Order: sequence, then structure tokens, then C-alpha cells
Amino acid sequence: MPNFSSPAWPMASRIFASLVGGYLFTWGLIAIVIAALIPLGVEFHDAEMGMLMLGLLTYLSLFLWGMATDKLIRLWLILFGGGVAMTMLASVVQQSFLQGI
Amino acid sequence: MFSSFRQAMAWLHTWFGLTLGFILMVVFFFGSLSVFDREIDRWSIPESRFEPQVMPSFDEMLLPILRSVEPDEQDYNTNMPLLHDLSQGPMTPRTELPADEFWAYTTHRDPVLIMGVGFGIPQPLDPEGHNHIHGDITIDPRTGKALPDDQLKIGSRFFYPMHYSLNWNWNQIGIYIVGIAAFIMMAALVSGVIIHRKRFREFFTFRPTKQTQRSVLDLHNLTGMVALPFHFFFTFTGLLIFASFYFFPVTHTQLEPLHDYHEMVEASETGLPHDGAGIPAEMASVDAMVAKAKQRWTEKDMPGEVGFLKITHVDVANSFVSIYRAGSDRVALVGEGMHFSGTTGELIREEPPRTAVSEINEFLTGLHLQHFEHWLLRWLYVFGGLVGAICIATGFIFFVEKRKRQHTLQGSSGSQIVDALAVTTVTGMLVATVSMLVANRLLPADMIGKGYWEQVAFWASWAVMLLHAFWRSSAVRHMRISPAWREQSILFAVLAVAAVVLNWITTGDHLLKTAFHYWPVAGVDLSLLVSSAIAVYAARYLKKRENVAVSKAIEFSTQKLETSRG
Repeated sequence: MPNFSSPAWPMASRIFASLVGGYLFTWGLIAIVIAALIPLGVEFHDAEMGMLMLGLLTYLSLFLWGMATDKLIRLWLILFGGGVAMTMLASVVQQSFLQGI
Repeated sequence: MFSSFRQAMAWLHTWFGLTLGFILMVVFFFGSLSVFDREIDRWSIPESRFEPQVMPSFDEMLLPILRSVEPDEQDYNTNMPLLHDLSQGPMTPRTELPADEFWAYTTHRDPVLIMGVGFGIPQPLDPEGHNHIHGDITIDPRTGKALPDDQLKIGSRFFYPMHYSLNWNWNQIGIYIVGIAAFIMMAALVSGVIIHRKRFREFFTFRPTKQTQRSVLDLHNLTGMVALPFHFFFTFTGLLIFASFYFFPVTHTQLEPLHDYHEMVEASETGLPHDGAGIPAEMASVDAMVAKAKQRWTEKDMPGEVGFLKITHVDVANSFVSIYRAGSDRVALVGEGMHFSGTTGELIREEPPRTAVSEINEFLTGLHLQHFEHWLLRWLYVFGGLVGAICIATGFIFFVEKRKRQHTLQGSSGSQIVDALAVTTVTGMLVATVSMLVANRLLPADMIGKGYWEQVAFWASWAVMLLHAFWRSSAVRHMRISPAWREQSILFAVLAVAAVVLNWITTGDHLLKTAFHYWPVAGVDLSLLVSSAIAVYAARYLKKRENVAVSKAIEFSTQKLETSRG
């Protein structure tokens, strides 16, 4: 049984949330923005490259924020919740666009 | 948990920097060497020491050679079982695979020409996938003679991949590790600035005569700050090059349907067929297409030579030839691609002007990949990379200097281990690199598997340096400087000179000759000699510091003894 009250535990949770959660959130953001921009007529590779550039900077900011924030629970909720929500939404937007053609 | 934002950033900077710094050291050092990868190739393969050539006649020279290329045996054995659909019949024998794609690539720094064939797989498991078994060849473009396969291009095929993949190719794990390390590098740069933002002046202070801990931190701040834009841009653009493949492959996974839809639209717009037609057909003269492409570039006021040439769907009715301009006169990686029908030679498509986003992207990635012809800028890249390496190395030393007293008192071996690893990644890496060059000159040119043994020399000498560093690291526990730093510096200095001398003995190319006639080799030799001189200076300086540290260590242990008694 891991010792949840050990000081190492919140740090491990923080690192995991910042690295993995930050990644998931960024993934979701990239996916939803690309999926939304294509139906609006933006060229595919423009949307892709633009979002990759922004995505890397977003991931960096999220990671730094995650390493510093006081509120771990809020960190988990925003990064994982937001990431999963945007990722799912991206699939829905993509499907409805491709069906509508 | 952290009392302030700055404290959080300091924690992140210290611990992430420490764990991934060792990887970053490798990335920065071999990245610096990669700027001159082609020159190192010339040094390591004496047969290729001649002037760069323009792309030779495709119809007369390249085509017959490409027709004789066979699929690579190792590639076939590894990938054929994965790509072939067994339910449709047994695997097509290796030598009977049909050629599907021809390509040839050269740069302004390449005397030799690399080209290759992508062989199609007749019964693929996934018809939409990338179904190719490859066969590559390097030739002397003056005669068409092939260079032996066993000769490893140490610069472009070992040092350069070391920079982005650590040459650890199992499941591309090396690329992922470098990717994570590069991401942490960006975080370390931002957090490093935040930690010290209140004392901005310190960024530009260097007090070399103060105690080691102080001057090391000065140097760490100085090298980090002076080249900050360089470090940040290179890390960022390096990540960007791989971003769509490895970091965020969103459009190759989740949004693949959207990507495929776009490709279909694009194929119908460009007229470049995505799939081969399957009807055999004769190929038209590629040389005539090259002439047309060059004429068109001249009309657009950017005359140039061919850098990359590719034929897709070889020998079938809808084959097409893509010709790209060698872009060595500009930063952005732009090819001004022209696409011709392979059977009629007619121009199918000329690439339209780029959009703003793709211009930015091409500029950024071009800035990193530096195909351009600008020697001053290339050398600045080398120095920028080495300054980064100094920044990381001084980070390690600062870590050790700050903690070794405390660790010694606590009986912890933390700083001892960090110091040994720092020795391994700083001087040990240099010894490994130059050992490989020495092995390259000592092993006979026609030896079977020469390239393999050169790599063995690299890894084995690095492993020995690791053992040596740990063996000598006990000095750190006694508050002294590990003698491994000095000893490996001397070893490096000796080996570097040996490499230059061996180059002279085995090829007859000494500096007085190459300095006037062949700069690629003279440059490598001179860099080795300069590095050797720096290493000798470092070793002598370390000796002095070691003596100072010994007297301090005696003081320290007397103190310790007194406190334990009192």
C-alpha cells in the first residue's frame, strides 16, 4: 500500500498531472481547433502546422503552471477533464463534417 | 508545497535539468558536430575527398545504376513479414520486388551522391500504408562507381542521428527520449530566467577567480543567457521538425480521416496520382524535364541546380517525376518543386506560392536544418551549440559543488554519482567521439563490417570512460575534485592528435596540403588540434584546482574531526 501522506506523493501527482495531463490537454486543443478550422475553409496543412507551433508553447505553459500551482485537484480536473472533453468533441466535429460532404 | 512560484521553478530547473541534462548534453554536442557532418564524412571516407558535384545526367548515369539496385536484405527480413499479406500467397522473393520509387539527393557540401529505390510490395496487408522495402546506394557522381556499403559515413550517418535519436532505434525510442529532453530544455530555459529575474545583472557577471561554486554558477548563467534566443529557437524548432510525427501525431491518428480526405482533395487538385495505375509504360527523358525545371527557375529569377529528384510509380502509365531545387542559398527549406508526367515529360504541376503559416514553418525548420551555404553562420551554430553544452555541464558541476559538503556529512553518495555521470557525458563523450575517428583510420578500408567496428569503438570507449569516472569519483566524497576530469582530458588530447597524425599517415593528407586544397578535411583536423590544446589547458588548470581542493579538504576533515570529538 503506498503511503499517501508521504511528501513524495503530492510531488509525484503533480509531475504526472503536469506532464501527462498537460500533454492530453494540448492534444485535445490541437485536435479540436484543427477539426473546427477545416470546415471553416482553412487549408489543412496551415491548420496543422499552426496548431503544432501553438501546441508546443501551450504544453510548455501548462507544464510550468502545473509545477507551480497550489491547487492540485483543480490541476487534475482542468488538464484531464479538459483534455478528454476536447478530444472527444474533436472526433464528433470531424465525423459530422465528413458526413456532411 | 512550494512557498512561491520562483521556488517551484527552482525545483523544476534543478531536478528535471539534472535527470534529462545528460541526454541534452549528447544532443547539444552532436548537434554541433552535425553542422559539419558532411565534412566529417569526407574525413572518414578518404575516397570521397573531392569537390561537390552537380546532379549528373539521370538518363545516362543514374537510371542504369538505379535499375541495378537490390532491396536491402536487412530491411526485407525485418519489414517484409510485417507489410506482406500472407493470406494472398507467399512473400515475393527479395530480388523480385518491383521498383516503385527512385530518388537521388545531393547538397552543396556533398561530393558523393546518395540515391535509392523504394520497392513496392505486390500483396500488401494495408494497401493504404507506406509499402516500401528500400535499397540505398552512394556513388561517385564523376564515374558512377558505387562506394562500398561497409564504409560508415560517420558524420551524417552516426553523429547526426546521435543528435536526434541517440542511435537507439528500437521502436524509435531514442527519438522519443530526445523529444522529452528537448521539451524539458524549454522548461529549463524559462524557469532559469524566472529564478534569476530579480538579479538580472547576474546574468552577465563572470567571476572566474572566485571559489568554484560561485564561478561555475556565473558561467552557467552567462552561457544560458547570452545564447538564450539561440537555445530556445533551436530547441523549439527541433521539436517542431518532429512534432507532427512523434510529439502530437493528431492528424495521423485521431484526425486521420480528415487528413485522408484532404489528401484526396489535394490529389485531384494537383493531378499527382496517389496510387500507381498498374499499366506498364516507357519512361520519358528525365534530363529534358530537368532542363525545363531549371529554365522555369531562371524565369522566376531564382536560377539553381537540382537538389532532390524523385520518380513516383516507376514504369507505369501514371508515373510522375518531381524535381526540387537545391535550396542552399536561403534559410527556408523551399524546393520550388516541379512535377512532370513520367511518360510524356509534360509539366503537370508547379508548386504554388506558399501560405503564411507554411512560410513560417519552413523558415523555422530551415533555420534548424541549416542546408544553406554560409560558413560564418554555420560556425556560429557550432559555437551556439557548444555554449549550450557548457551551460548544461556547468549546471552539473554547480549541483555537485553546492551539495558535496552536505552529502559528505550525511554519508550520501548523491553528488559523487552526479559527478561521475558528468565526467562521462563531458570528457567521456569526447573520448568516445575521437576514439571512433582513430578506429576509422586504424581499421583497414576494405575490412568487412568496418562501420560496425567503428561503432563498437565508440560505445566501448564510452563505457570504459563511465567505469573510469565511477572508479575515480571517490575523491568527491572527500571534498576533492575527481581526477577523472583531468585524466580523461589528457586522454582526449592524445587521441585527438593521434587522429590527425593517423589521417596524415594513412591518406597522405596533412594540414599544409589540405589547408590550401581541401577545407573539409583541414577543418576537421584543425578542430581536433584546437580541441586537443584546450583539453591540455583544462587538464593543467584542473591540476591546480585539485591541489587547492586537497588543502581545503584537509581543513574540512580536521573540522569534522573536531566537531565529532567536541
